[in-house]
Amino acid sequence: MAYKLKMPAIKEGVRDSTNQSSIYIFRLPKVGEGIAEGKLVTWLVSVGDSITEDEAIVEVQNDKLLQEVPSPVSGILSKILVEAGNTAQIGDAIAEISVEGSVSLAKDKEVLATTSKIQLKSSSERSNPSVVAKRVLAMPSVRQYARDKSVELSIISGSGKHGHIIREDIDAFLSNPAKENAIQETSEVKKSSIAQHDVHEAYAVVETDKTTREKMSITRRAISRAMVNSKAHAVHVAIFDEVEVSKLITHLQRFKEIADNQDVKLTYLAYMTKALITVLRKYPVLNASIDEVTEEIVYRNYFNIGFAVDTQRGLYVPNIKDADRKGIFTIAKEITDLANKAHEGTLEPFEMRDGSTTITNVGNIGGKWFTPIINFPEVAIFGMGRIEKKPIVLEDDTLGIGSVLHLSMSFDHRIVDGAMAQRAMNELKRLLANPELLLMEG
Amino acid sequence: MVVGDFARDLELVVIGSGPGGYVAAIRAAQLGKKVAIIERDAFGGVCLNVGCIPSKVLIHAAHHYVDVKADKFGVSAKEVEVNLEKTQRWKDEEVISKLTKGVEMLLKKNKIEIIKGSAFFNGPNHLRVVNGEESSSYQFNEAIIATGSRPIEIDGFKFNGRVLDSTGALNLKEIPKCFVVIGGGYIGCQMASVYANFGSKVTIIEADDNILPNFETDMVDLVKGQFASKNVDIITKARAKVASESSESVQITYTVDGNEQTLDADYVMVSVGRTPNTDDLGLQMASVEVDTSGFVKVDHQGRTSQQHIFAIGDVTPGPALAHKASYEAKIAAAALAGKNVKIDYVAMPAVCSADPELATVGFTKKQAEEEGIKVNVSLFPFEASGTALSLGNTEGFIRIVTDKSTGLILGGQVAGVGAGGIIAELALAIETRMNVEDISLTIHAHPTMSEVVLDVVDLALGLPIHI
Repeated sequence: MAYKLKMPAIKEGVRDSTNQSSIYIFRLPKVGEGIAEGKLVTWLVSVGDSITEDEAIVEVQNDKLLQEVPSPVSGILSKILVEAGNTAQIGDAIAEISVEGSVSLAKDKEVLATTSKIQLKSSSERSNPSVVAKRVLAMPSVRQYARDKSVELSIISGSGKHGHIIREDIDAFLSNPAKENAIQETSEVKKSSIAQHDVHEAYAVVETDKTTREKMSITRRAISRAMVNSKAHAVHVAIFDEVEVSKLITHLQRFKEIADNQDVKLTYLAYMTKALITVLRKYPVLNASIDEVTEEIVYRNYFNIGFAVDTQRGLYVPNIKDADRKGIFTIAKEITDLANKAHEGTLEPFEMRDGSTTITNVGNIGGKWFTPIINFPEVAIFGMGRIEKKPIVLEDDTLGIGSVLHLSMSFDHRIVDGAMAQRAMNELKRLLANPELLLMEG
Repeated sequence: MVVGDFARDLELVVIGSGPGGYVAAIRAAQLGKKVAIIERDAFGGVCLNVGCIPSKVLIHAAHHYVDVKADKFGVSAKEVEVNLEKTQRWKDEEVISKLTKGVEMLLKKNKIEIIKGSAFFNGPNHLRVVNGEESSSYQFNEAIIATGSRPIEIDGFKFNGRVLDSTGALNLKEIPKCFVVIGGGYIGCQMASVYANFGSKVTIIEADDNILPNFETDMVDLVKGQFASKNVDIITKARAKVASESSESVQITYTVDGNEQTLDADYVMVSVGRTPNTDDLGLQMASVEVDTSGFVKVDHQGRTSQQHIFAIGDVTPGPALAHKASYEAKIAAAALAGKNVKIDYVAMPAVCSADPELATVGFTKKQAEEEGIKVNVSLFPFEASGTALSLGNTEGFIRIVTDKSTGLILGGQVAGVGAGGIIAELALAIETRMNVEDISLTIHAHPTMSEVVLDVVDLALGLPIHI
């Protein structure tokens, strides 16, 4: 399974001290930024197996990734505390490893130092309002309570005054498996006059003998949350259009071979990416987000164009970083690479973060127009449908056969007005109709 | 093991009864452990016997002397004199003796077995205790090493006669006419203040380019100003070479810029740092690892390279402070009792009882910026405090370092009257993650020096009342 991420061995200095041969209580290490839990997919070793340090012992899946977690020590797996198929919280004891002799403490400390560094880094990178100046806003007694409960405080956002984490926040975190307090949701927790949503009551399906039940996967839950979140915040309006792309088809055919020679799979998606950069430059509000807390529009000074990848495990949206500084071949290459990673489950969280806008392409499957859901907090998403041969009216008012690409666009009407959206669509059509403009204006 | 030597079994043994050891022993007993404590000297360790407490006595006595002589507030006294022998007797009998007996009483109250003598490991679970001619063997399940530290001795200045360590300087029976201090750290500056206040001619010889390296220069400048007014000489970038003693005096040779100089004094105190008492414990026999400086390597609970042996206080890395030892003592005891505890502080206060008193806790501006944190710094001078004015002592300030965007309190420095008490509030604020608004909304009693904390947070909020 060559595609899996290899995690650095992170050793929590927790061990049983009752006798000379030590038992390491192996706790689930951090498996990604801002991630509170992981599903133990497969145990790669069985109880009684001897393990060497850094050997992968368990596969863990979180929201987006499948990772191998290595053992921090050599020894014998003496007990599995969380069976495969179950979800564990970061810091939960998941196994016991019996270690012969004593393990060098210096090493322990070194690893501990690494762990805390990682924690510091990740907590400062995220915007948890309960982490200020690299310290978690919690009283010493609450910090002790969190240790007693094996809760990593830096992923909780506090409900106390100015973001303080209180004892009740830890209880709430523990009792609510959906982790409503977790940092991913903090933007909703904050109050703002333009973002007050009633939490709707959860819907439960009545059981009948004509239904079967299946647990939603972590990925499916994440997708579901993201969709609800987007619909709850952004005011979606969709527009539909079509553009004759014969020249684009010719252009792609002309360069396909050159691309092939360079190991690049040239696609319409790459052209679309390039065209969108010009559109976003002209209409910067499409490359913005709303800060609902401060009620400000935040413009991005970068162009990270996302695209949706349909995989067996669900939908992933990686983005091409700084696409404005890349040629179409490079973009095409990166699309292939990122799509492969999505299929393999090896996308890194940062590869899915900080997008400018998103393209969703169903053309290869079929269909013309649809109303895509905005990849929140972005404010626009562009849908590509099928390219279809159609009768069109030519310039000399005679009928001809054209190749027509179907385009959809959803935008957040809170900051994008309808007229501007249509102008942006017109610009996109102009560029796709004359792909050579991409060289001149791209 | 010697033939015929029966080892007695102990459950948890604490070695050393200083502010680390006795606290660890009591806490472990409270948490259900059967505890024995080994002490080779007096209960309370350096802190109670030859450190913090006796220093406090002399510092206070010297201030009392200066105050009585001061002819201030319309109060004057004639023929004020100090009898250092009486001061020492009061210190020994009324303070130290009471406290060490108090510690012994507390140990007994908690059913802790007391073993007198020096402990040496002769295995991971064995130790031998030597008390004079007597020697006994013990087998233990768990141990806490709390043997503290001692003053560093430097070449040419063997502690003897007129060449003193801090212990000797605390026990002088006469006020020296000339007193030389080698090493201008906080111990050196405290003792220099004591004898300068008692009227000695004091000289501080410091190897570095400034005294009190752990405090910011504007705070140190206040101390230097007071020293100057008391005719204390401070010689920096000086290397102490040798002390040669006669029956009447001691001559100190030192070099500055390569030039050799000499000074005559009644006594010279060497206070250039402390070294952990780990060299004579047989730690290698117990396979307890130490670093190159002799500090015991410990993890986030104080556990050493041996699962069942902990170390706390001055034998571990970090500042040699009594309150650090006591904190670590409680963590180690709780860890041994099976609790999931951790050494988890960000605020370690430190106080230097020079004139004026200095105290610091948490980040200085420079330290915060080195951590990449954007900060605000607010300083409120004691000149604007009604209480300081009433006390006739307006020298000093409170400064706080706060997170720029949230006002979270990250550090504080206090110079002046009551600094050591004031720092407690800032330490509490830092450890409990308070911001300036929290303190601003807390009523501070009037008229006290603690009000100045309120003034400085109001200043940080941009809404100062008194300046």
